[in-house]
Amino acid sequence: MKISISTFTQTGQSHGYKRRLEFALLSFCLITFLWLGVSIGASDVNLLLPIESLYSSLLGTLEPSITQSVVLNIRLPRVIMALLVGAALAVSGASLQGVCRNPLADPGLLGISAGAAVGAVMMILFANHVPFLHVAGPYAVSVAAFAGAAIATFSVYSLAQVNGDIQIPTFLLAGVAINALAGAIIGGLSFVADDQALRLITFWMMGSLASATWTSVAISAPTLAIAMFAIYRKRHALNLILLGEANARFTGIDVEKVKTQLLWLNALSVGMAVAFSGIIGFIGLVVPHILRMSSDTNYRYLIVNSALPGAALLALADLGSRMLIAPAELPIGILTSLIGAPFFIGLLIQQKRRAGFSL
Amino acid sequence: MSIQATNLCVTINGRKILDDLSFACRAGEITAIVGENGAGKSTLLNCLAGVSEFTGEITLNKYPIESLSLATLAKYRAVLPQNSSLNFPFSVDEVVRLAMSLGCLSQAEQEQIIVDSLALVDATQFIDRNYLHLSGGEKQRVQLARVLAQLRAHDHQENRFVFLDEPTSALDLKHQHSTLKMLRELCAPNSERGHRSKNLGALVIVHDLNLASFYCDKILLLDGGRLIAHDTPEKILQHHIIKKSFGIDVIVGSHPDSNKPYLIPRLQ
Repeated sequence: MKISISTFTQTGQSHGYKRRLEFALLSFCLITFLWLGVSIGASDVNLLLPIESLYSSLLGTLEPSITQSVVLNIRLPRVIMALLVGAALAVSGASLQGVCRNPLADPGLLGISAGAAVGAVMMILFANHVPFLHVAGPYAVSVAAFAGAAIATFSVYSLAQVNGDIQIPTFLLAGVAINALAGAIIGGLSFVADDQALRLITFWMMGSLASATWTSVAISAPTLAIAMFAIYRKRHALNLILLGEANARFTGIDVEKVKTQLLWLNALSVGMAVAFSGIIGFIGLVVPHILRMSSDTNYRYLIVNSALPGAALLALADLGSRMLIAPAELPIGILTSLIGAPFFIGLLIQQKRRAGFSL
Repeated sequence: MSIQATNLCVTINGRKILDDLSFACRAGEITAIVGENGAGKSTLLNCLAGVSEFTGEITLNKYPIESLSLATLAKYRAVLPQNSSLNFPFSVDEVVRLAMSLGCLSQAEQEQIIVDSLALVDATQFIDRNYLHLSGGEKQRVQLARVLAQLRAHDHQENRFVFLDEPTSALDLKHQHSTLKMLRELCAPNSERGHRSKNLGALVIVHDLNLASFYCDKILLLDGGRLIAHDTPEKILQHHIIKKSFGIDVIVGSHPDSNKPYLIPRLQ
């Protein structure tokens, strides 16, 4: 029974072609949503606006109109933040699914986002009483969100681990428990908060990109980029962990070390994402899921492949959140959950029919 | 060069799983590990593979096993555990390719190894299939191909070992024999197969004592965590030894093709 190398490489090439096509398509979507996100706003719709604004700001000769400065200082950082957070959440979901060897893992379901929100909310309430922290503003909040995310991540993980293996029911229940605990803490905090803080807390619970500024982009962009790149570098280890931890060890992976590193990186990405956009659910669950159904489950491609649609999806969702009930805004977390939850239920039903993909 | 255990003990929750084992297996040899359920076979294999806690001493080519990193160990030994669970829809060639993902082989070299390894376990026809859609025995063969690919990826190293925990448990009669035959050819010092192996040793857990007899150089018999015997199949497959360790009466015959002993259980 011999198979020739040429047939083998032909299938390899057709996969490569499909991958390049997907990449091109996703990049196109990304740029389109970026463009639309900047052009469309509650006050006006003008597809040439990005060019006009760039032109005026680069040359500096023309006095920028109000709309143009809205584009440059409000819409552009907001859309960029949407892309960053979307990519980070999708990558984080994909890598968590690898660490837990379970396609149901998601930073929202596991309580990591809620943990980050607790950290952020505590810092906001606390900062009102401490002048120095108030000045540190977004930095302090992101550090606190990261700490909250890290505590939640390692609590869920250590709760779910039984004899060195992740037990799926325990693992989901641990997520439920951490989510409930975080909900209770945030509820308690909002009870003692004043009106202004209460508004902020509500913002964190439902997710919104409305407060994105160039400062928040400057803080989150390098951090998220480094975290995503570091996760990408663990792609081979993630693949081997999918084969089972014993197999990963036999193949030369120090599983405990890699998992700890990945959990920290996840806490960093999710903490940063939540600090600037609140709790946005289902991106980390749905994006890798669609990719697995349509093309690749291999982490060689899955990390990069998740980042692009994650970014595109959140940019689109942000557009929706701004436009659906304009001039008011629908919190983006509500929108992603509204779309994500039924979508996920649909996926589950489809998988139940299609045997073999066990959860 | 060999893998050697001296006074190997493993105690879990106060229970002695392995009790003072001392033996050595050479590269170029294929050794069957046999014994009742719970005799400590898998624990022994995990210790030898360097991923389990033990007291005593294990050396791989004279190096204490605990002094070797997981990455170094991966070059000198490959392991097929009893269960390999993969819940994600990989294609068969990707599963085999995973064995080489930490190395630095070119794409073409990897593809050659994938094709060769799958051919060794008679799984070439599955190459493009979704791993999750394979049957139990087919999955087992693909996992074995992955382990063989890991060995092949470090072909320049000498004196390596492969540890297989029940590689034939889900296989049909034909593949039970073809798999062990293939293994025997890989281990034979003057192998003429394409899979050039520089002194490969194998330790295989099997329940079928006839397979152990026909294809293995040595049998390592465990009973209740103790080493009862480590010798050739002819010495071990005797009525009184089997009766004592497995508690079953057998008729010992001699295979007409090879004069190797075979066993048939008595029915009364």
